[in-house]
Amino acid sequence: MIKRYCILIKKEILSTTATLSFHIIALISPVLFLFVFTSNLKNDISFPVRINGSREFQTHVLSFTSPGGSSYFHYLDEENMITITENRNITLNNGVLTGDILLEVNSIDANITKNYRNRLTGVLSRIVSSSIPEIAITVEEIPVYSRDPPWSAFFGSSIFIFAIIFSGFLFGSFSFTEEWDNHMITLFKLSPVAPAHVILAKFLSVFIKVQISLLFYLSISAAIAKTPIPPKIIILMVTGSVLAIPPGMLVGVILKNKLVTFLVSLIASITLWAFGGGFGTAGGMAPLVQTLMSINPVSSLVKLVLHINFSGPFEPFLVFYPLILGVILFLILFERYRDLIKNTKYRGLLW
Amino acid sequence: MLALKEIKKTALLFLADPKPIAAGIIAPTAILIIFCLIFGSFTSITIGIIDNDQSQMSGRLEEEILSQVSPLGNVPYFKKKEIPGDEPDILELIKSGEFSAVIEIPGGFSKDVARGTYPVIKYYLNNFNSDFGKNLRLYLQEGIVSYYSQYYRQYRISVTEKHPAQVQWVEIIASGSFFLATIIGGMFLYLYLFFKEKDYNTLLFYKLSPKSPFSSFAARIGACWLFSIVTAVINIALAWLLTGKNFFVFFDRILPVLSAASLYYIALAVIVSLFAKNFYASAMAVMFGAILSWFISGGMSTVQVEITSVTGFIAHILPNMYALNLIRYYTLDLPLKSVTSNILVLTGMAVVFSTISFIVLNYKTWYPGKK
Repeated sequence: MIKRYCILIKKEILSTTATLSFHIIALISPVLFLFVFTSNLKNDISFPVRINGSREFQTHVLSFTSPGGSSYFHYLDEENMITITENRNITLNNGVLTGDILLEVNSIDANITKNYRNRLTGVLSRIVSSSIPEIAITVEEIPVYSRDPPWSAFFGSSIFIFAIIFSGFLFGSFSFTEEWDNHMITLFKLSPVAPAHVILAKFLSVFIKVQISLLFYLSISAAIAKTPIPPKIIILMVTGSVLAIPPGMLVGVILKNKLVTFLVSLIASITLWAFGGGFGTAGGMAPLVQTLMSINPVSSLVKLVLHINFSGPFEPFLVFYPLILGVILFLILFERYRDLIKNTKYRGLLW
Repeated sequence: MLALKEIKKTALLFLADPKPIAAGIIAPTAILIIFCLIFGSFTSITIGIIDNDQSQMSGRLEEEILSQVSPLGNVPYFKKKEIPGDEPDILELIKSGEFSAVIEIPGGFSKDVARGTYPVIKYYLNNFNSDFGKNLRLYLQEGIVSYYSQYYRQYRISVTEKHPAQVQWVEIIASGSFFLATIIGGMFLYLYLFFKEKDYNTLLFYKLSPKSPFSSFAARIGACWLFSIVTAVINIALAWLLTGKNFFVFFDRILPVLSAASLYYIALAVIVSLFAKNFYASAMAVMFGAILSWFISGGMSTVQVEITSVTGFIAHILPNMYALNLIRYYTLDLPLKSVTSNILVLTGMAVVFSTISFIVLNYKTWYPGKK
């Protein structure tokens, strides 16, 4: 039996060449997304600004940082740059802090305005703390993470989840579209190998391919971040693969066209990832999004990667929920495949 | 005459199997729906407040913290939720996702404020990434500074804000999404039509024809342009439905912009189709390329990327940034340094790239007098 499994797995892996271009896209697309996010977020939470004002004020603005040391502003003297002007210098006279500040935001984007307003207010709070500390309200932080995971590092981890889901879906679906293309489904009916073994062998071969693609992503992200790959990541790779491969295979069983399955895999992966906390927690998002995130098993994977990479909180549910769902989906897949084999006609096969 | 026949053939090919072409519409539409749902309606962040001081001052501080309104969505930054239980484990509540942050005002807070003996509040927060941590910290500071300006006679700093009329982020994303639909739609159809010629081996006839392939080139480009505008219209209608912003009002002004960008990308598809062997692979590659370049060049934001970075350089050599600038200038009143320069760059890119693509097509598919 093991020999049969080995043959089936070998066949599946060799058939990769038939859809090589899709496999390459699945391999490099998360890496490209990583590259884009890492490059765009190289300044982390720092926004460019031009400052017109006293040296002290400039120092206050440019040295304003998060507790982890990330600057909120960096100076950029360009035309049309968003500008903070100290119209009347901020001074402390007789214990009273006075001054006039002008914030000129030349953006139509309410999100940009919000960000600059927030940062400037933070600077003013800091000026109060340094000028009249005895009345300034000090905020003593008790954070969940000892240090904020940098935005780009967070996305690097989050995109890894996308890579798991996308490759699981895609490789899973292609394990069947190939059979449809080559009219092999009818032959499976005649096969002496039970459907359960076929499904399991296909699952194992897809599992191997997914792990290879994930190792490729991990190697590149580790090289970019110059950090070692944490051994515990294997738990995430296994859990995520068990969750993503069965629905991918199910898509391949039901939809026969390669392009359609590719699109379904891509859109399903992006949707599950985005509504699973790929961009962050549900805090501040619409109630519908919050509900979707709470039931989406991909949320568990995102929390799991935060635990592994940034010592975030952990609970066994994060592993068991996706695993149990993956097993249920696998059983549904098996039933669907068994039905398919049972209802496949012999007619024309021996012709 | 030949061009008319080419158009008829193109239409028949188009109608024969619309399934792969629908793919050109589905992907950008899905992106629009996902981003509109996620970034379209920001709500207040749920926080807990434990007031151990129970004084007028602590009440006022709480009031100021909860009353600050975000320009993004015009909703308060924070909404308060009662903390369950008598002695809850606050960090556990945050880890469970029930609260994003909890503020604890200690007993004696008002005395510390009144006496000027260094008042302190505790802030439990979910800083799962630096951006969310930054938001939680700065939103709290908005409340604190508002409290200073309301109740501290020692604080007399005034801030004036000047900005153009504001639009919500989701409208910016929507304006980017129908642009994405335009370029993907046109490229997809071109690839489909050209690979059908390859599948049916009809390219051979073009190679042997004494006539220049210009008619077929123009017919295909025309059909693809039309299809890209159709995909744009579908996405504009969807954007209207999801965001309430009617971009059709500006359609006469954005149509030339969309057309120029579409022409550039169809020309790119012409070149890809001449060198690629497989329709599916090339279709997927252009789709991923389009989405990536869209992200890089301001599909979701109006922030101009610096040319010194790798992604910034890529953004500057593609037409997306110039087209998006113009679309947002016409539809959202985005301030632009020079409208003319954006128009010239975009038009120049479209014309140059179309010419190059025809030269390559001519070179690769037309051999009059050869075997």
